Amino acid sequence: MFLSRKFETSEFEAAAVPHLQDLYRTAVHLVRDRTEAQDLVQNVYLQAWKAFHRFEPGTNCRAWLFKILFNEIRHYRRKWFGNRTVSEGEQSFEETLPYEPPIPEEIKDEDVLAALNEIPAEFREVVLLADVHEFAYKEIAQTLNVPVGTVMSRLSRGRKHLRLKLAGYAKACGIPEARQEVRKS
Amino acid sequence: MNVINFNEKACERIRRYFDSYLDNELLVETNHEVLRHLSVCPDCTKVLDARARLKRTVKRAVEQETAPAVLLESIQNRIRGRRSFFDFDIRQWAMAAAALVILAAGSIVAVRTGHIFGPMITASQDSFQLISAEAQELMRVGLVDHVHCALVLGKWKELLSFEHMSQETGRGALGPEFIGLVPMVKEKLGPNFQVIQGHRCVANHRQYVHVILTGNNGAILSLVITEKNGEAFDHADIAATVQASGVPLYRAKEGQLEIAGFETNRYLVYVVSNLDRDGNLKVASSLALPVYEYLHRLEG
Repeated sequence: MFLSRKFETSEFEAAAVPHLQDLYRTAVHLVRDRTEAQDLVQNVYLQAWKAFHRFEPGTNCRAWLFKILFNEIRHYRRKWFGNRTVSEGEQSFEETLPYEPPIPEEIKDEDVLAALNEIPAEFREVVLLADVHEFAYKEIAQTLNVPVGTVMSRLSRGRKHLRLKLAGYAKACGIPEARQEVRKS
Repeated sequence: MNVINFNEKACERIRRYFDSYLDNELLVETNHEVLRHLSVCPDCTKVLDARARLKRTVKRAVEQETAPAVLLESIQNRIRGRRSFFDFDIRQWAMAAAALVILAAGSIVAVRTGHIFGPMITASQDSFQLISAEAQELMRVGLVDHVHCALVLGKWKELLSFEHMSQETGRGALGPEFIGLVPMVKEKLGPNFQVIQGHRCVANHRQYVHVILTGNNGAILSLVITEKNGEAFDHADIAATVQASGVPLYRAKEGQLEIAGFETNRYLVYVVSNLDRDGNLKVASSLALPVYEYLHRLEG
């Protein structure tokens, strides 16, 4: 028993530590505070460690850790924002337009990050899970505890928000329309 | 304003699939449909390229953020520290780690075996009872030093000669008060055990006199003595396990470690080892009276 418990510690670290960066990045972009993100990620690992005996070897440890992270984030939001839920809201007028906002050829990372941080949190989390961590829709649905259809809808709207924001930056920077990818009707 | 030519209904319909297409989430048939459309529609191809580029950029930009090294360090300390009383590095000794797991679980079981004199122990009268938190803490006082000093710090491997221990004058020296314990223990336990070293040490902010022995089959044993700090076995909610030549012995078990304890007016004394129940009680019973008398003499 001694040796198996000892083995469990190293087994946990081997399975969980490689995902530290992914969890931290996600937390940073969801709470927009590096110190809070560190606390959240630390809590995720402690929760995971406590529950590691229930983790089935061979199953997806990364998805499991992300599910714990999103639970922690929900608690964090509840703590700071009470029971007010962040509503996805009605579609904005811009969103409803059959309009493909122009994306500059050269997209600056800082512009993308700024745009990402401006979009509603519920869209941002799906964009992060799909675009950065490349989870399947089904995994995202399980992580966020929502139907797959909701994942698809949030992702579509989140990406459109991003395009709209970036197009706004591009326009503000005076990037010529000739370099943008849509043609005039 | 740039407006897509959405007179082409096909473009509008196909673009609804773009998110799923980029994420490889389309059914094969739909995927083919998108590809067929792209092969004849440069506008949609451009739109899709731009979206793919944005997706890649989001990934690249977010991945620039890296967790500070201190975060991993802190997590590892917390995880490994969960198995420790003192936050020491338990990797040094697998058995200590395991013992601490059990400690954390807090599952001391006390055994009452009735009144037995001398080192002979019988198991027939055993009855198990969970002991109180106060009694658990009292039994852990001895356990803590064995785990911390003998096992985790690895002192059980550091054989010191009696001359060395006698001449030692530092804070870790047994000193004239306690050096006499070493030959006494050696004599009482006979050839089955080897005294590795005796010293004074500190664990969990408490001072101990500590004699470490090893025996056959990997046995590691500590005789641990510490001054009372208001505690007493006979006040705790724990029944004496045996009477060893008139000295009441208290017994507990933490995982694979056996603890036997007794007391004098001034001291708490423990024998902690990885021997089995009878083996540890036998050692404790052999030492109880001579150690009791030794300490009693010190107390004057």
